[in-house]
Amino acid sequence: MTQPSLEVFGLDYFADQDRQVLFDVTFSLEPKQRVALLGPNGSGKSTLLKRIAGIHRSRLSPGAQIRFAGRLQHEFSSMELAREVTYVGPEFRADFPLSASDAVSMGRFPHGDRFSSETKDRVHDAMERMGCWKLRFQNMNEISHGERQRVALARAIVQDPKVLLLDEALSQIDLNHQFMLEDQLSKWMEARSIILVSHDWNLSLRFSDSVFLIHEGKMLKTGSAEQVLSSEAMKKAFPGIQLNYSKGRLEIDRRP
Amino acid sequence: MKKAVVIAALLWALGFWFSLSFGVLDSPTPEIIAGLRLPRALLASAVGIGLSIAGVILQSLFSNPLAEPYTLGISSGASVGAVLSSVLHLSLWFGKSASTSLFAIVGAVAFGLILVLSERSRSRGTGSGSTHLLLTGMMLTFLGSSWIALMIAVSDSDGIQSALFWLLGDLSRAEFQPSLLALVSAAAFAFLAYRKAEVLDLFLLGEEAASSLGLSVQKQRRGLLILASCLVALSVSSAGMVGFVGLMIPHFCRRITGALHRPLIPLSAIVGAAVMVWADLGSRLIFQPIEIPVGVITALVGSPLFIFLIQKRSGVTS
Repeated sequence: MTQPSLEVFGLDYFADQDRQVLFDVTFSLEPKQRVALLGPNGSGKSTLLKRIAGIHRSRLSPGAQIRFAGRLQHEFSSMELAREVTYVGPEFRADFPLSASDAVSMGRFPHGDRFSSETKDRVHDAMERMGCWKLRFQNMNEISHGERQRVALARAIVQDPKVLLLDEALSQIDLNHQFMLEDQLSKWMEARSIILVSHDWNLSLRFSDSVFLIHEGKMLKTGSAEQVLSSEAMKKAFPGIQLNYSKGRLEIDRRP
Repeated sequence: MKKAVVIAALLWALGFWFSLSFGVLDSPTPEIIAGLRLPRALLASAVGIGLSIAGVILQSLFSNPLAEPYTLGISSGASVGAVLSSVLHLSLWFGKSASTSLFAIVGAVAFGLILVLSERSRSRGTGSGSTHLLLTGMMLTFLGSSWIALMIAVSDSDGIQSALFWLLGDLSRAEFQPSLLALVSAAAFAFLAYRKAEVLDLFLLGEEAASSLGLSVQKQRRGLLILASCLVALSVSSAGMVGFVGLMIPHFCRRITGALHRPLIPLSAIVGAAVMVWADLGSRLIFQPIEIPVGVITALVGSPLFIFLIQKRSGVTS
């Protein structure tokens, strides 16, 4: 059996002293696995991803664990962790005249070779894949939201992590580019794993091979799309909607 | 970029030479040149370097183009520290000017920490809430100013004059040795900032992205804030609160170098020194024989620029 690329066990997270956001979250992620993480607003999706990526830091409760390829998260230095996992959020901006290609090349920071000539090739390749090479001389404060998101994805590819966490990172991208990015990310993946958060369920289900459902900070259900979408847990998390999912087609309606 | 550095260095040298040559007296004695004009030119250069590099650091650190020592209240903190030391007539270890500088550093760091903490409590992450940051900074400036006024009023050193010095910024108190020391330390701190260029680059993307790129944000932020505070304190403790230099210079230089810090920091340092030397020359000569505080000149140019940048920024973000 292969080593899971990410294991989370018994994870609690407190935003403040008396506001708990995650409750005993446990799951594991295999290499090549693509997960769609579903959940209503405020269910803890972003918090979970940021905690895994090490952006949110907190002491783990006794017995809780986060492991990358078997190694405990807190044993990684922050640079090492950034070679293992990265988070791409809904907003990637710089209010300064920073060119898109310079922003992408920062992805090499954890590898310590940002200014090498190989990095130039990597940046070119990644920006070409994410359809933003023509933006390379443009400044980050002069391009649109969707364009910045493509630059952010190119940055993540240059960073070359084993686990990629996408938090609404495709949400402002036009459909044409969205299809292209899905294909390109699939080609790029190889043995890597991806967790995708998106409220666009068509996108989520098209892109993923399994679904995690989180509600009120608890991981309610994990499994294939059929298993999760038809579960009682799904009704509990999204009481207002009726789902019909078969053979890769999703129909969503209001619950009568 | 190299061309820009050379031109800026030439302008600085020219300004320096003019500073030594021109003044109220047409044929100055060597004592006037060495004892009055040279220290001023040295101090102007030190203040220019200190404030522009502090501006570069603070703008990147808060990923906010409107940040600078004066608008964030960090200058005010340094000033409070310096005034406190001088009204208490403190002279620790190395004497009076060292204790003034030390207190200025403590004041600047303290006000800087208040900013960081209030930023943190507002939101964990993006650092895009410029209104919050700038309002807090403005209030810190008011708070600092009132403390300064209070301390000066109670201690009655030389009242209004001294208050003007601390609140507006003035180079007329320059003396040779402290000024030379200030210039050397400003250059040294600027070099430290240059060594941190790659880290500062990452902060341009905001804390969240910087963190997912493997930067220990908290630790680096603390270090850089202390570095910026030292730069501010060194300027403020010898020349009072000169405003907007840290805003204008980085913006101007970014137009030439872009936002990456390896080219930006050296150019900002030299341009900062050049601009301050010329501004000082202006403050001495424009209304001759009356001398106006140099901070008046920088604020006259800087505050309209600040308003312009706010306009431009709100256009971009909406």
